[in-house]
Amino acid sequence: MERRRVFIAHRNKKFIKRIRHVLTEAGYNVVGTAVDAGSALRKIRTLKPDLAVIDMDLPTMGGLQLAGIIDESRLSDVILIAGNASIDQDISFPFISKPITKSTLLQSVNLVFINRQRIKKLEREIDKLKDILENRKYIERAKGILMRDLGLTEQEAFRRIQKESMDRGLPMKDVARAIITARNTTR
Amino acid sequence: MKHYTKEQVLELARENNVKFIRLQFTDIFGTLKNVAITMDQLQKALDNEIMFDGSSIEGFVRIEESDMYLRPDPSTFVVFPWRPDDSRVARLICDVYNSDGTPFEGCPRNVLKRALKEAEDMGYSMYVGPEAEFFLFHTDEEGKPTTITHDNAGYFDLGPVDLGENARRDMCLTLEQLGFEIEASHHEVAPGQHEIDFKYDDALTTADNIMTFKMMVRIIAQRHGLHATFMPKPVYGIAGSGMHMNQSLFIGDKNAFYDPKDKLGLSKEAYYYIGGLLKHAKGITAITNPLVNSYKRLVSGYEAPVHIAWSMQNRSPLIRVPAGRGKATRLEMRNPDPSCNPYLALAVLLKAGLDGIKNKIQPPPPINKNIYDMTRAERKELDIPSLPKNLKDAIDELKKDDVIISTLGSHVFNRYVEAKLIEWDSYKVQVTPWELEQYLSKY
Repeated sequence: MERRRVFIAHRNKKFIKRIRHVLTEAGYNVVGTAVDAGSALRKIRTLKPDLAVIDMDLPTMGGLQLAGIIDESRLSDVILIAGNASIDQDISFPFISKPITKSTLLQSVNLVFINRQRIKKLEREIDKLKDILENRKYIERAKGILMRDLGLTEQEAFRRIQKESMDRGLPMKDVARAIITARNTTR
Repeated sequence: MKHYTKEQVLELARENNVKFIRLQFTDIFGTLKNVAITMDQLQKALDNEIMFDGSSIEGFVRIEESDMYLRPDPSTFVVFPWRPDDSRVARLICDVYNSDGTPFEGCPRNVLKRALKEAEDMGYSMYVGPEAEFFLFHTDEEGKPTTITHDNAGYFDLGPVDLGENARRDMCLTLEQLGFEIEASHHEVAPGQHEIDFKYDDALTTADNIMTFKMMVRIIAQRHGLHATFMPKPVYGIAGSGMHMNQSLFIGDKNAFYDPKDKLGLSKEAYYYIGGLLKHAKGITAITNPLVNSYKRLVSGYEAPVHIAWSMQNRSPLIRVPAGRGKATRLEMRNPDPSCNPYLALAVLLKAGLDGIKNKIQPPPPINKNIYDMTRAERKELDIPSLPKNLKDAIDELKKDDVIISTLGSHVFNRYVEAKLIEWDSYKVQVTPWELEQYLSKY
């Protein structure tokens, strides 16, 4: 399996070093680090990590706003590191509160990756369903055209599209779209 | 241009889950100002009942006359595309009115409207297409802009990824979501320099668009960890940023600058308009090139204009007539830079051109030779004057030009000149790094 790519943004270089050590030992690939929000954005946009571990108290922009931009632009997943004071805020990202232990860090990072895989799987399924729905829409319309123009029954119309698709080696959706286009241009 | 009624604005705001509305206007120095209101206050705002303290705005009014009203222009309503769906932010561009219900004469948008009204009375409507250039620089660890560009700042383990290109693509997408039609977008001459051109529109819409454009470019740059600057000449020795203004006048849907019977395809109005622009070029420079720094762009060698002349092909003079004819007939004014206040800049350009038409000012023949390459004697023989060389000269020229002064109105003129003289005086007494380098060890 490809090593999971992580980015760390924290104002304190020593802290970055410690987290980098823990994550690297656990098998993650720390692809980059930053001590301010500006360079974090520049690097994340170029390095495209899977996950960004971001301190809430990051200079120049604050971790929460940075996380918002990363999320809205779909750049990577985010875990925030929250000071005790910020826990009460309405935070819509997974976060770990300070002080951070090795086990909470690794558990949270692992959790994000498990969720990430599940979400990816769901997204793939949604895409597939969208595709099917789309195909069906075209095939229905093409069927309607054949039924009206050639006086076929619904079943005959469907078979006709299916046969055309097999004979020509084209997906049924493409045949259906061709029928619709032909109809629209000849009318 | 879109046209919304108040009711449509309310409906659109509700449909889009808008929570906050920014009421925007521009001060005389071209800075965008915001008064933020919540959705509950939108009706009140659309009924022109939102008040603000004008004395808090630089160059606006004195304390004793500080109550001002904002009149939103419903057709400027847009919803910003980047906020989460459940609490979106929209904006409305406003005119500023006095408490007695008269238009505030210090409001740049009103200044442009006044000029457009005069054009309308003569039968003309003005269309403008801007070409704005800007630089994208890195920010440092404190978030302050630097003059470091992406082009020379590769990261150790990366290929040649140009973050500036990505940011610009994002800017174009966002602008399109806001209804802009992007005509061109490319990397410019200098490292880190970019240009985005959007479709021409009526002058007021274009001025509004320029303000929106600058705001968007800055915001998107920030989201890429970059700083976008419209400073005219941020780095010595490389090209500066201009904002060429392509102008045309229309009578109904006919381009008034086009005449197929003319040798160059230009109408009498076009020639007179050029004559007017050339006549008032010195007087309008303080408005179109408003900063001390603007004049460091207006030097030879970087495609920026220096000489007051016009041409059909050559890019060195102040005004170029691009090849397009018919509806696309237009005059490209090349000195404005993107730090100018677009409302005031378009107002003075228009009024200079109209003065040409009114007084039938015949321009000198076009110069189709590179003026940069001519000797001083050759230029003198052709009688080619130069643009003001610095902000002080430009202000002095502005003070001499009654047409431009009356375009601005006494309020804007007085505040503007006062502020710009302070800017100049403060600059004049600085000891620059250049001086230290040249003189410190030598003398």
